[in-house]
Amino acid sequence: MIPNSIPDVIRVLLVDDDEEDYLIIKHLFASMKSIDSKLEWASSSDEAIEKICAATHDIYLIDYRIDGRTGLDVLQEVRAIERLEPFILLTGVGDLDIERESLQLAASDYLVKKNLTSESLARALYYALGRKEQEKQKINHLLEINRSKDEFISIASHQLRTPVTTVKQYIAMVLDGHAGDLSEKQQRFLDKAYKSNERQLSIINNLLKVAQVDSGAYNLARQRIDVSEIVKSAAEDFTPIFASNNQTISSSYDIKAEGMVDESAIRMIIDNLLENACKYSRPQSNTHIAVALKFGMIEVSVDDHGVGVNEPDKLFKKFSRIENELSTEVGGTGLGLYWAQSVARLHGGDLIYEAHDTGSKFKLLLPSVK
Amino acid sequence: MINGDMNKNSVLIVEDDVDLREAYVMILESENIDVHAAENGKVALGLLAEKGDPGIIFLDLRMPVMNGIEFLEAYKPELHKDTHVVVFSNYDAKKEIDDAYDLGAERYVLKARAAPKELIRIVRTILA
Repeated sequence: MIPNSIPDVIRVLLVDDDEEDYLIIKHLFASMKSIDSKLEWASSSDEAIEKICAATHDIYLIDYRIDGRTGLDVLQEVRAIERLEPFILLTGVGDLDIERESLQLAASDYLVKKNLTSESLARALYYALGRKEQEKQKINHLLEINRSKDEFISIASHQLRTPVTTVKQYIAMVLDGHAGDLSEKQQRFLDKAYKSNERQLSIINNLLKVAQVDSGAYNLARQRIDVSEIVKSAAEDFTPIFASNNQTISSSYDIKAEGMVDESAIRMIIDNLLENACKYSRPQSNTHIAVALKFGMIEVSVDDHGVGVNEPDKLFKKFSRIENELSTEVGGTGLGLYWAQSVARLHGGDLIYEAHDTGSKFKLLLPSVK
Repeated sequence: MINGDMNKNSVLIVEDDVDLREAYVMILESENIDVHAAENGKVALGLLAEKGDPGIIFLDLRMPVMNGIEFLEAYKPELHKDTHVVVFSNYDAKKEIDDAYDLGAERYVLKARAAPKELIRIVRTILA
């Protein structure tokens, strides 16, 4: 059975530095009865990589040995695993280890050159193309499921917001004395209920923000803005918050750091970093926020003297909460840093973590404009 | 909350969730503010035609019968210079909020963020 999406004329790229082998394979293609094909030849790995990246072929045949490198190097360099076209590895002799490795790098098949006939080659092409087609359908199906999951999260979170907002209003009304005087105990219990409800709201808000970023629905409203100005205003707003925890915040700005950024998104990232610094630091400690230009990038660094991060690998993963001596006390959703890094990357920048002896340092990198 | 005509010191709440609507009315009444309420855009339009313009309209966006955007299209805030429209919604969809601004809304407040004190503060600032 031939899957109907296989093209009428199959465009094949052969990667082989041996002209004699090319001529033999060309001959095999010419004598194929069942397939119409157009064979192109790349005689070096560099030429091959360039042609593969241009993505104008339906299938690639790659010799295992090619100008001192291997076909596996080529597979790795062109990220065969992310490609929709099949890659078939050709080799002089069968070797189980190479075969295993080529499969790991997403080669569709592995053919021994000396056993090739035009018929076996044609069959290999058909099967590889057919399997890729099925893969494509599966991927589309999974993408569809993923999309509806994002949509579900968005709808569910929006729906959840209304009752949670209502609870907030009524508890606040009672706390504000609209329903009469409260005993000290009633006040304390309701305070706890209110805070818990606020935490629920923040989880819902974060879920929504993450769903937006994940589904690609987050559109940046970019403007030419001096990032130092955003940082200055954040540092000012956070001064009383740090003070209420008996901590301090200091800042430094070397230069004018202009970038094409979404002001409110960047402000949210900075707020997130400062909130974390405040939450995970002990009383009497200082957090320093600085803006600098480095290698054409704007670098906003937040340097705290807090408890540090035990498992930095997990920091930017969704829902990962890292245990430390303060984490159970301060709460958190495990979504903030994931969101912040995603949005930094949407800007063409990044958010990275650096450990140091006396705490944590987060660096927000953003492309600068002159 | 059966009130007379609306004037520049009145507040109109347009909100479909009955519990939330009642909460807002109670909060503002406790501050001796003249409050009126409607459960959707259509009821709000009727109320405005009958009782005149308030100083502030708190407008939810997602409502049955007539939503907030449709209400703004019909009401045309630019023809009511003394009435301030504050969009009060829990749907922070950027497109919808941008549309509301284009149609004459002056502010957007995420309902979930506004505690009673914040609601009162908004009213006091605008009506001051």
